[in-house]
Amino acid sequence: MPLIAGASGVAVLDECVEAFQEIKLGHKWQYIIYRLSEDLKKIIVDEKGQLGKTFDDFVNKLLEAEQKGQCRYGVFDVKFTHNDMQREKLALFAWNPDNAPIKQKMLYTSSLKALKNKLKGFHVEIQCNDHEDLALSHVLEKCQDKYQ
Amino acid sequence: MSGGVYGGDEVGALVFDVGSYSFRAGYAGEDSPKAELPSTIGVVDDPDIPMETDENTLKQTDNKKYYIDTNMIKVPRKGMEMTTFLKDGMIENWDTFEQVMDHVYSRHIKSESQLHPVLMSEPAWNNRGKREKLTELMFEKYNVPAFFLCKNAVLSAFANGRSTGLVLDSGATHTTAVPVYDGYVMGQAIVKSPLAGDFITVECKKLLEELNIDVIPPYMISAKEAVGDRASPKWKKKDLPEVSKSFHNFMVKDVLQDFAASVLNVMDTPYDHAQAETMPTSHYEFPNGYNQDFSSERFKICEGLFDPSIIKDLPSGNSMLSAGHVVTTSVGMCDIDIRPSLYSSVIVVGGNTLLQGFTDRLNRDLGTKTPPSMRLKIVSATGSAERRFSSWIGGSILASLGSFQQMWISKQEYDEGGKSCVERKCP
Repeated sequence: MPLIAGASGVAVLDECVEAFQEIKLGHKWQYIIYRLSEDLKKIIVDEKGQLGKTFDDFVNKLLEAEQKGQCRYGVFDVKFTHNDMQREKLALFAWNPDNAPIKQKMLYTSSLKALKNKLKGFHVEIQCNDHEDLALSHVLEKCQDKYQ
Repeated sequence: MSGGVYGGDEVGALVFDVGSYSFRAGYAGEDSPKAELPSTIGVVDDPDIPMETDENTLKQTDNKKYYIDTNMIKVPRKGMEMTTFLKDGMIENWDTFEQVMDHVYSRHIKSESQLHPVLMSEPAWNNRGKREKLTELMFEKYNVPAFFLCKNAVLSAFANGRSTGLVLDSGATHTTAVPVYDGYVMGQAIVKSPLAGDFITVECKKLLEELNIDVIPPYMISAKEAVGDRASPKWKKKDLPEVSKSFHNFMVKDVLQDFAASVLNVMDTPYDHAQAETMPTSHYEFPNGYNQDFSSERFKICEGLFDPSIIKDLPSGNSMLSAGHVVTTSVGMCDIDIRPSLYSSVIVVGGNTLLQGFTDRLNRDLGTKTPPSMRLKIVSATGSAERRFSSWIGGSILASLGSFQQMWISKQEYDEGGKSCVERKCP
C-alpha cells in the first residue's frame, strides 16, 4: 500500500472497484455512490444508479447524505457536447458539505486518496463542499477544462 | 504491512499540537485538547532560589529552574527570564522542549508515556533533521509504543473537508499560506509573513504609548479604585521582587492581547479615517482601572495586516506582505492548473484570524485580486476553538480511527529501521 500524508488507513472493498470497472468499460451504471462502512474501516458501495437516472437524481442522493450530516464519494458518467462532438467523462466527486461534522469531513478527506488509488482511469476530480459546487454548470466547466 | 504494525487500541493515543502561542495536548477522539499551555516558559538561572510549596511544576536541571504553564509563569520571580523552545515555528531548544513535555505528561496527561501512541503536528516547513530528532526523542526518551508526525496545514485542510486548498494560518508569530494539493503540502510555494498576532500587540503598544496610557499588568497591582472615563487611575503597587524585562514585557503583552481581542476590529474596506470616526466606539478598562472609549484607533491598528504600507517605523519598510498578498503570492507560485481549486478553498485558521472582521476583509481584498473567472471561497470555522485548534482536532480524529493503526510508526519499526523511518512513514 502506498504511503500517504496523513491518510486514515481505511480499506477499499473490491465491490467499489468492480462497480467502477462496470461504469468505465461497459457504461452499465449512470453513477455510483460510495460511503464509509458503519465501523468506519472501509469504503463500500452505497448505491449504483441505473441507466436513465439523471444528474439531479445523483445530486439528490448526495443532498440526502448531507441531511444526515454525512459525506460521500461519487462517480458520475458525464455526457456533454463539445465542438459538436459527443464527449463522455467519468467524474469523481468528493462530497464534503461544509456543514457536516468535522469527524465526517476528516474521515472522508483523509480516505480519498485510498479510493483514488483503486479507481484507475477517472477523468476529473471535483471537490464539492456546497451546493454551488454541485451545480451541473460547474461540473461541465470542470469536464470541459480538459479541452482548453 | 510488515509485522511491525502497532496493534492495540485499548489505550488512547495522545495528540500534541505545537503552536507559537500555545502547546495543545490531549487524548485522541476528544473534541478539544485537554490542556493548552503557553509556548512561553520561565527560566531562572540561579541554583540558590528557595524551593516553594506545591512545586510539582518546578523542574531543576543544570542549576536552571523551569516554570511552565499559565499559573506558574505569571508569578513575578526574581531573575526569571521568559523564553520559548520554538524558532520560526520549529522546535529549536530541545532541553526546554523536553521540560515542557515532561510537564505535559506528569501534570496534564497523568499517565505513563510508554502506554500511549503519540500523533504530533509539525509546521509544513519542518526539516528532516528536526523530524528525525523528534522521532528519536519520542521513542528513546518517552518510550512511546507508536508515533506519527503530520503537517498541521494538512490536518487543518482535512478538518475543513478539503484535500486541496490554501491554508492561511495566522497565529502569534507569523501568518503563513500553505497550499495543500491532494493531501500533500506544496513545499516550494509556502509564503510566510511576520504580520500576525505579535505584530498586533506591538501596534497596540505603540498606540497606547502615543496616547500616554500606561499599561500596568495585574501582577504589579495590589489594589485599585474605580475611576471615571479617562480619569487618572488610582491604584497601589504591590511589593515585588526584582523582575526581568522579559517577564514584564510578557505580562504587558498578555494585557495587550486581551485589549486587542476585546477592542480591535478590522475595517471591511481599506481604512478611511472619516469613515472609521463614524463607527461605534468600544470601551476598555485596563487592569489598573484606567478606562476610555476607543474609536477610529480600534480600526487603524489592524489595518497593517491588510495594508503594510501604513505601518510606521517598520525596519523592513513596505516590503511586507499583507494577508491577501500572502495568499495570492503563494497561489501564484503553484501550477496554473490548480490555482482555481486553491482560490475556491482558502481555509482560514489560527488565533489571530479571530480578530473581528478579519475574514470579511480578507474576502474583500482577495476578491479584488483574483481574476473574475475564478470562484473565490473563504472557508472558516465559526467557533473560536475550531479555528484555533483545527490541526489538533484533525489529529484527534485521525489518531482515534481504528484504521489508523496501520499508519503509525511502531516501536518495532523504529528499532529495526531507525529514526529515518519518519521520512518514509510520515511524508
